[in-house]
Amino acid sequence: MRQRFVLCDPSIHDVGGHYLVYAEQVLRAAEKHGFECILVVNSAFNDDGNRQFRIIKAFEYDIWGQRPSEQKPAESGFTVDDRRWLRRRYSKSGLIFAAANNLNSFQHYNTQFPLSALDTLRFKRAVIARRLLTGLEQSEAAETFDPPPPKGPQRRRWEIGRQRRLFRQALAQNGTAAQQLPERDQQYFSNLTNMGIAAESFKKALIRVVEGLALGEEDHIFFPTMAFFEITALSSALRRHRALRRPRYHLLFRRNVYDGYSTFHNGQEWPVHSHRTAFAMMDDIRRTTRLNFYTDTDPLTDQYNRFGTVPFKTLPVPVDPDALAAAPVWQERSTEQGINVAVIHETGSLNSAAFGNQVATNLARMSDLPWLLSVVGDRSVVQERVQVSSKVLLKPSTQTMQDPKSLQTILARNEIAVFADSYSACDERAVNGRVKALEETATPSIVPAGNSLAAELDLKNFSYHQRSFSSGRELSIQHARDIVWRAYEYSGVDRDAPECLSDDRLLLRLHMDAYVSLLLSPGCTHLWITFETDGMGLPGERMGVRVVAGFTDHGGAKHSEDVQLLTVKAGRRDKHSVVISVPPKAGAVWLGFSSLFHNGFHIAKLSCREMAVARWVPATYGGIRFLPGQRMDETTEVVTRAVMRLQGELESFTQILQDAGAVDADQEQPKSAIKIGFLGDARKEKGFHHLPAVMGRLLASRSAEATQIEFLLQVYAPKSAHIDVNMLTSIQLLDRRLRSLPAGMVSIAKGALDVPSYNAILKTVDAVIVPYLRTNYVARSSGIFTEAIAARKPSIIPAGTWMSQIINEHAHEFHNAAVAEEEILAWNVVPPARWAEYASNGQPLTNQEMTHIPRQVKVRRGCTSYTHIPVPAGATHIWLTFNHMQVAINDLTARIVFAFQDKEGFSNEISRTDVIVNGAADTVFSVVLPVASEGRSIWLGFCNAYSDIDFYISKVKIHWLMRKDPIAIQPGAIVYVDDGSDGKICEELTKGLSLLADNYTAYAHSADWLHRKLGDYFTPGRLVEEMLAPENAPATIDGSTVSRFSAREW
Amino acid sequence: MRGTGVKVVGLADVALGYGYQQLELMVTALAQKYGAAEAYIVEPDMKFRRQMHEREGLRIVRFGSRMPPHDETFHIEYNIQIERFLKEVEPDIVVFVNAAVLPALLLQKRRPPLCIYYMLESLHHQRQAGGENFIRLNEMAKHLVDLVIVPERRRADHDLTTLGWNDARVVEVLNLTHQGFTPPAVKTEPSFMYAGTIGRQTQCHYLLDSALSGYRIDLAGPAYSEDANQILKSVQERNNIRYLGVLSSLELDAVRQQYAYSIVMWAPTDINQLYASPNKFFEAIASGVPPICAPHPQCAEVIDEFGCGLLMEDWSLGAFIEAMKEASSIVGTSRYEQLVANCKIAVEEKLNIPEQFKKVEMALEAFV
Repeated sequence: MRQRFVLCDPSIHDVGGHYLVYAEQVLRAAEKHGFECILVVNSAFNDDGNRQFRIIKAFEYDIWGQRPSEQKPAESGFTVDDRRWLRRRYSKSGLIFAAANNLNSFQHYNTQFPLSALDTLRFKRAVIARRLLTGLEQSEAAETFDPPPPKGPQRRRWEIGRQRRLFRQALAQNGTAAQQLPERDQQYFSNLTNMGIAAESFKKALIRVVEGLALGEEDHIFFPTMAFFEITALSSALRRHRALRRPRYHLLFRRNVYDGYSTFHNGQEWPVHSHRTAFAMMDDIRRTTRLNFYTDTDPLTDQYNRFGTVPFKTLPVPVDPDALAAAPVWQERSTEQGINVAVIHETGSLNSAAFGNQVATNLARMSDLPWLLSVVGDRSVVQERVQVSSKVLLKPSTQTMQDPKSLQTILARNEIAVFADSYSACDERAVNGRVKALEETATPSIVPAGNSLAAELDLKNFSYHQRSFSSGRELSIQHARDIVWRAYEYSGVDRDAPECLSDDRLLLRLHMDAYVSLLLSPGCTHLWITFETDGMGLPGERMGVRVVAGFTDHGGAKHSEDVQLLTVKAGRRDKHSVVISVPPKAGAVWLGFSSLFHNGFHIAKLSCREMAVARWVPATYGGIRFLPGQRMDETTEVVTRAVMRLQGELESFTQILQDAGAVDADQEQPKSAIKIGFLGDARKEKGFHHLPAVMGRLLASRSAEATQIEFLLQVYAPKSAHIDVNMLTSIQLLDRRLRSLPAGMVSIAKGALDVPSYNAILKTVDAVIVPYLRTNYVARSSGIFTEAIAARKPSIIPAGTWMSQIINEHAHEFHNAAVAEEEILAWNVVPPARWAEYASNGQPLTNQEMTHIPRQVKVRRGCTSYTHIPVPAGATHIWLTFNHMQVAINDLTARIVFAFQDKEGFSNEISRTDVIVNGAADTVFSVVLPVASEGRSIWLGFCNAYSDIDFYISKVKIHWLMRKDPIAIQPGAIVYVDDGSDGKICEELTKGLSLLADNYTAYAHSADWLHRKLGDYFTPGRLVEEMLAPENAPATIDGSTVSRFSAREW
Repeated sequence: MRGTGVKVVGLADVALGYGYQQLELMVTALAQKYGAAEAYIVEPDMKFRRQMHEREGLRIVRFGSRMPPHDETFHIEYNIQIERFLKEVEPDIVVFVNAAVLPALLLQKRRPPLCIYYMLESLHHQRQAGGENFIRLNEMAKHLVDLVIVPERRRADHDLTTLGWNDARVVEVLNLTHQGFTPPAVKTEPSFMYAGTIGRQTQCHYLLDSALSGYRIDLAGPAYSEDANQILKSVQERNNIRYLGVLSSLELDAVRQQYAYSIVMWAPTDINQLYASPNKFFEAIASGVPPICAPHPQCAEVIDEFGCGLLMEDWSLGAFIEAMKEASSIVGTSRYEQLVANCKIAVEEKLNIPEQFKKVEMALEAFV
């Protein structure tokens, strides 16, 4: 039997969410090691049938001790039990029983209405019974520790049954009522009971899984997110059940036990003592069971190892690089209402609305699909609101077509774009902008032949077809010069046409097809027709080629026909291409060529290749061309058919444009805008609530000429039994803010995202903002941060966290690699004699040297050690490096103040930048900052940022650089200062985003560098390798070295 | 069905005339639509709410109880009486507002042909009033309900999802009580009214800020809590704020038009408060008194659509002060006149009972 790798996560109860993504990528990595992989999840899991691995639903409670099944809607229904219960409760007996709960009130309100003798007796018995009942309810130990049934009729039946049982017990008792607990104590008992039930449930589930799968010594069980009550339950289960001791356990803990920085941990020993004891109880179990303990960050590992119980090590946070690479570009489209079509009428007239109406009417008539048409035109166009049917909705838009960003916004929201104008006299720049918008949004289009947009798109046919057929087979090629041509005149005359061809140039005429008949080779899927224009025609003249392909089957019967239109640019020599799909049963083809607009022009080097390729290749790049009719109704009919055809091949066309975008992406263009992504739910802890204010500040502070900053936000409030109103309020405030922002500045992805959509956003954005609550993330990992590294995107993160620690640990190496020797202008090692201290009230403590230890600077909370250094002439950057001296403490934070001044001595401050660094004691910290223009000297200060102990730094060295290119302050991220208040955080985030936008290339390169350093570490493969590494195997336990603890559960 | 003609019954959980009028308006509208022979409102007898109100076209049936309202025994006794009443009347249409009256309906052997759940209160509110029992009653009632009418669809979305009523037929009817627009008096001075529950949950403490000391503000409403009493105590120390006591709906209607603005806000501490659909917001608009409103989604939608009020940027004190400053600065200008004119447009186009009832009529087309 294959070794099994069983991943158990009781928090997986739905297909959305990070837990399942994590689990599946780890299992895929384990599978590569030859394991049979099994996923054990919560009993409430909604299996969509698309899971890669075997699923076992076992656990009732998640890591917070909550039951996900409780969050699902109750099963509705009205049962016989319900009716009986209502009948009993809403009756005279029920009235008496209810009144018995409030004797004082009842007596007060019923003094004037004395009860009958019988009722008085019943009432008295009810009072006694009710008190007994209340006492019994509180003191009854659960007969079993089984969780109650799911909400709904089953739960009600269970509760009614319990009530009746207790009531009978109460009535059967003579004597005094059980004492009632005070309310506060009731809550304690309730909590203890609930956690007890959760632990018992976990234990039973684990036993069922291990025994059911008959796991043995070769098998592994991995818990990627372990809770403390689960540890206790596991410990109990391992003691009592021999079978559970056979497999090897990997237990990962991801939540911090101590709050804040390590210098504050001494004061938290009492609250964490129970956690420590939980691990202590595992210690002796290690003699009989192989247990590995992990966290996913070094600071967390330090916390857990501080317990001095079982040893912990750090595992990487996994990010699946393959899923990221396979992700498409994000498209902001909603198909909730159906297929979205933008009808764009550039010349701007009443006809645009009429045109849109007609297309909508046709679509409703021809198709059962739901359509949503938006008619887009100039602001001056008069719009009509017409609801053609419930399936087709017309939404006139007043966005102007003059603004390219406006077009992009429109295209991003639609699946298909119809350009309705025949004569688009756009200049080249405008046309290029439109092509770019279509490519960036991957929107297939329907464009009139002869239109300048069509000409531009058709110019791309050749290179696109070349790429498409690179993986195909060429079955045959026919050149025009080798073919005998005939002519079919539209008057009906069919004749030889030797005059059509001369010097390998084919003459195209209006109202006449120059044609050939060809037999098709078996296996041919496409005909690839290429030719060149030879400079005929006057610039601006409309010229186009019509290609007709009439297929017959092997018996000679007519099969089908295809017509394609190409627009060529007059007066130019270009290569052109069109592809005709060959129907499967076709045996021969009649190929005809004519001119669309110009009566008589030549095309050169015409050839026709028979191709065999697996994937369908469209005729023309980016969509379909059509020929407008003489009348609007003809045109709308043609357009409607084109829309339906395009809709049928939508996925293919969209993919083509995405691929085209990917090809062009390698060329580094200066960015006119950068897109910042926010991924995650709208919790306060994630900093979502800062975003509206930050957007407002950016709008106010950045000029129109500067690189614009756009946002792509996931807006998601997970539904649960406990509604987080803060989240909903944040979302409402964001919605309000969006109304005052320019169109296109913010795009929204609503709701939970599946993995491809999540990765699509990550791939699409230029950077990721992670404005998390610093105090919660001092030691905790962040999935999105590691995902940004994997995606080579810079991130914006708070200082003083594990995230910034990762950045700081690599900064020196990055700067060493990025700074060339010849760029170093000068350097200083600041002697200790020049350091002084500056109190937080702004008063210098003393001008004397404050440190007596050679080459070390004291760093304190509440006052700043500073020095003052002249800036060498020509210096463009300052590169500061130093070491922490405190060996035992791994999370010291130092705030560095860079204040440039306008003269050599103490003078006016020109600019000030604060940078906070944090990290382990062996880190060489490195920061590079640009020198302020006109800066002649710098006031450089250090103080302790977040903890309250004094420490020393050493080897403070400054390199002055002269370089023309910007360089990242730290690699791969903008690390912003979190000073606690929301206002200050927003200010820092705004500054950070502006810095990123103005220096994006530098940060993108540094993110790329960071990816090369860490991309291989943050992978599921690495995680599994580390778990399975031989040196990680738990040592055979020698009783003399372990079992220092004798802690036992009760 | 005995007798001839349609019978409509509305089941109220509080006495008429105190609190929402929506139930009686809905019953009246339904009675008119169906040409009802008999239309009833069943109400409880409540201490402090003794006054018996009459309504044209409606028979008000009041059930007494020895116990005070919101007490468990009151709830049981009231339902016992409603059950008897429904059995006797055999209504064709029943409208109920919350779980407080559901037991009587659930116990009927004869199901009314049309049963409308006018869900004026969220599940959160109902849980506060009646505990888990009220939630259970909601869970039991799905088979009974033909149509759910809600004042705020976002709040209802949460509640109906919790109950598993995803396929229920739902209509949003704004919390209106007026038939049309009442032109206000011309205002030349800024003056502000706040009418509603006094307390921190309605952010009344903002009114005490020194930045607002120059504005004339009147308060009216009940003060139930300790901090409400503290606020009222502080009010006494202010020259610019008056407390008018608890006013009935009629009294409020009479005085509201004296003010330039009406203040509408709740701290978004729970889903009810965030997704508020406040009567007084619509009442203010109907009176031509533009509201100054926190950005509760429904209120924001209405103001965005019609420009009939001023929206705070968020729920902070700073945003409130900015809104008050802006409001004060435009009284007497054409901008203020436009706000008032927009109130009229809003009422005539959308914010009136007949217009809102059309939505109910469309939904009822499925029922004969």
